[in-house]
Amino acid sequence: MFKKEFVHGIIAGILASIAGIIYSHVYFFSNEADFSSIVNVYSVIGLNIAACVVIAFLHAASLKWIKKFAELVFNLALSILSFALIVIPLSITLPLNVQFPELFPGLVIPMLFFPAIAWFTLNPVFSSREK
Amino acid sequence: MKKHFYAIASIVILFASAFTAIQSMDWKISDNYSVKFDGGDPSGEFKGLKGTISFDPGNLKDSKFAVSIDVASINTGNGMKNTHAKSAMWLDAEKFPLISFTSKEISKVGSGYEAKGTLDMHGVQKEITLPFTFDGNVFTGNISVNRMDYNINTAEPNHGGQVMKVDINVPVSK
Repeated sequence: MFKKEFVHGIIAGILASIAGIIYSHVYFFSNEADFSSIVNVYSVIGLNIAACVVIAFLHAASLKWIKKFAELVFNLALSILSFALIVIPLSITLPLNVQFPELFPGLVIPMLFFPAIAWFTLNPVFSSREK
Repeated sequence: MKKHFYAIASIVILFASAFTAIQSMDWKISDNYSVKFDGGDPSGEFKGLKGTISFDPGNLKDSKFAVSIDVASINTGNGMKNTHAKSAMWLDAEKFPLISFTSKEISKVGSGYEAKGTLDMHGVQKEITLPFTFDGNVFTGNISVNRMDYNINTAEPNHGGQVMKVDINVPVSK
């Protein structure tokens, strides 16, 4: 059963990474704020894939342990968790050589939702497979 | 006229060389300076250091610092804290855009120096003593500043650190 979750997670991670890389480039060109020492191609891919694999684990666990409305509870929890993570870029202290820290949350906050969005986007594909 | 030419030339050269000696006391602040502060939370740095540095270890009597930093340049590494620090509640960058130090007296102390002068911050002027060294064309000094002495957010004495340790490192060139 976890194979399906795992594949779902990996593909969602790749999708979220592509979105993250595109967004970080667009953000850089529109604001000329360079956060590449923190948010770069490698960190975006690594974090998105890791996040989506964690989501896959949580999804499998929720389906196993929650008897009623497991999908609904999981979706709600994932949305709330993604929203709650906003506090990280708002409170983080960047190295002093990084200019314009005011623009850092604008880069990272939308990206926090990419793993959940990618997961939800692919959900019909993997849900329908089970049926 | 020809008779006095050499005498006049000598006087002119003497004046010119004296002027050169005075000029040579002036130093230009290099771009790679740092003015860092550490109060635990917050910590960070300021940019926008400007002013005149006239310093000659052999002529401390005529040496003088008149420098300022741009309050709006504060960087704590966190955007929200930067905005907060510049607000009227803290440094009030709009009303008090500069933090300045003007020395009145520089003296030799041990292996370094001491500059006594006025620190003007947040509309409050206080006499301070800034110990510093000058080695390899780099001024290095540190000082502790209590924000309460400068009426900075006195309503919240326990909000963040009160005493900021300020480390100054200013490479200079002629």
